[in-house]
Amino acid sequence: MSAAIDRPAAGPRPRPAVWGRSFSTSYERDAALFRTPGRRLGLLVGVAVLVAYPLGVSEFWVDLANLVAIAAMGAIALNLLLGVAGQLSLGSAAFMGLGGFTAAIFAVQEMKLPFLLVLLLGAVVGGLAAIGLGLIALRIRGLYLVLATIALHYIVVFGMQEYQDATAGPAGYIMPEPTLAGWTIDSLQRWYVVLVIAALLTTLLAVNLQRSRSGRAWLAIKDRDIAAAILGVNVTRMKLLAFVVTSMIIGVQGVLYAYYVGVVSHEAYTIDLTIQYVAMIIIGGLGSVLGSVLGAAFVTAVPFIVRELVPLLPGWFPLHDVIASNTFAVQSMIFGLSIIVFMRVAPKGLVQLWRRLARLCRSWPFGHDGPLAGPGGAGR
Amino acid sequence: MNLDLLPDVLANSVVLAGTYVLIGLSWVIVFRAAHLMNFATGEMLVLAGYLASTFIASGQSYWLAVTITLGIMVAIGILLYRFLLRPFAGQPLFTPVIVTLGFAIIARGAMQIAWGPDTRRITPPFSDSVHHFGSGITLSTYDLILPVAALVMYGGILLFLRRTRFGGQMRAAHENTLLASQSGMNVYLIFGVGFGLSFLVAAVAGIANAERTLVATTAIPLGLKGLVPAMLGGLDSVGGVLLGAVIVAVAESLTVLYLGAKFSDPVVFAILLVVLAIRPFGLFGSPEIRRV
Repeated sequence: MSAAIDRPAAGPRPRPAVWGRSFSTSYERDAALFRTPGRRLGLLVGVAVLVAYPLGVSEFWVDLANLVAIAAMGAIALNLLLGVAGQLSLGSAAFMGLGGFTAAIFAVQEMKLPFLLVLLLGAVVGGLAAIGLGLIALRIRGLYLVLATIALHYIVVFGMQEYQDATAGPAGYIMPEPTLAGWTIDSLQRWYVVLVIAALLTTLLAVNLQRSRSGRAWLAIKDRDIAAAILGVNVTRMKLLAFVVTSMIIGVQGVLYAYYVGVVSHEAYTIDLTIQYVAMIIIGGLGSVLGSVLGAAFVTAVPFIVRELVPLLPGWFPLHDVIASNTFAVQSMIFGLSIIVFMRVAPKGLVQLWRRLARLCRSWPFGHDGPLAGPGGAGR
Repeated sequence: MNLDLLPDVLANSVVLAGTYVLIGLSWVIVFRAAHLMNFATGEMLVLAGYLASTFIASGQSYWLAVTITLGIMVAIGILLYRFLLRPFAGQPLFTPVIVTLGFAIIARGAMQIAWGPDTRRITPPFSDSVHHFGSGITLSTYDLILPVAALVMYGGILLFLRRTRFGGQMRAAHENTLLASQSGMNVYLIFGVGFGLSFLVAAVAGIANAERTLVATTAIPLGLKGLVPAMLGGLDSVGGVLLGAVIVAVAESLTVLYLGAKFSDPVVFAILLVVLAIRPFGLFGSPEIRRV
């Protein structure tokens, strides 16, 4: 059979399907960035929407999109580690904090380095911390990375607190407006350009890593680490690589977040922030770049949705007053509930729901499982 | 360097060790029973404190309030296992971690809504007086009772796990779940009882800690700090947690004495990093750790 697949048969070449399932007849096509014409069309539409978006909406929506772009970077990075390589880190907030304090130290407090250099330093600091921690925790199987990153979180937060108390005080550090080659990023629209490009670069990096040798090694480690080792994958090294790449991206993301928000303070980097990033990739879809973006959008939008919806609750709604006066607690309960519900109902997140829906439409009226079929549904 | 304070600090670290023994034990029991880790332990400590203080405030006697609280906490532990963790049996290692984290932030939000930001107190049921001993040691009645009570509870659980039929079954289910279930043991029941027992110990620790300080959500990191003695002693070693608790408590007390109170959290987590780097299975844990 394999010979028939390697050598296209005489006659008309099989045309890749536009919308439906695609049948790859070569490894090049199987590993292509955009496998079907439909996906290429989707890319064009996507770019058009991204360009048109800030022109047609109010500042509020541009701000929201900027926050989603920043969150998407962190979620894509964490998803590389958890969804692709199968290792859980609870260090998102710590590494964002390392990035933020790198920005505060090298752009405000000690030196006045230019924006691009600070971004680079954010990646370096994140990567170095990840190498140190990974060497401790990734040599062996098990949940040691979870424990080590928790320990790192509390130690880093303590260090940031001490440094901030010694230099800036409770108000924190006021970040300057960054300049890129003479172009000052001083409006939400300009930030939109920078952040969307950063998020797209992260997306490209993640997609390319996933279809490379490293990505396949990570998938093998996630599925069966012993089998991966037998096949010649250096498991410790690949796990370390995944952790370092993830942490470097999160370091850069922390720098961008610091510049975007304009203030750096240790209080922003809580364990709740880490759990929000875990929630993003669980809700969006483990192992999927699209899922990371969807999850980032969902988690970023929840506070705004809660703020808009709670005043609209009718008076008879149970616990009406309690909910209205505790919107923050309600938000975190929504995150916690969505984590558990998605793990149970759709372990591959929103992306899985979307694929089930697409399959249902495609095979209509002969569909055999609905969009909410159990986790053991088709596709396994 | 003030050496005069040293005896007093060491004596007081015994009190801290009493709290750590209980919290560490709660991690060890869950791990020994079901190979799981409950990252909502800190929230459960605080929840027990809030429940007990609420029942006392509603006019119940201290002991009745504590008994009701312990009952509720055991029920929460069993329900958490049955409805949130058991459905995920057989999934990757990180799945239960994420589920318990989700449960933790739900619990935190619920506590915030139910009790608001104000702190509460639980008054111990005995007259609290201060005793002076030689060489500058000062301890309150509470400080004397807590370590003894913790030791009694620890000994009881040790006997339960080592000497009873059920304890043996729990060890069997931990060693080889499949074989245990093939021998006719109800492993789900064993895991559920393990969770109940773990929550019982955590609730006692939570109430004890609340009596010493306050009932407040600021005590949540104590749950994770209690993991450190368990890791140091060996996460599957009931015997090791005692030594782990003493070491961590003494180290923390000495750091607080010589460097300042703000170092009490980071030093404990630094110990965790050292343990992970040098001896990830702990002092007395079984080295089932495998490189791949």
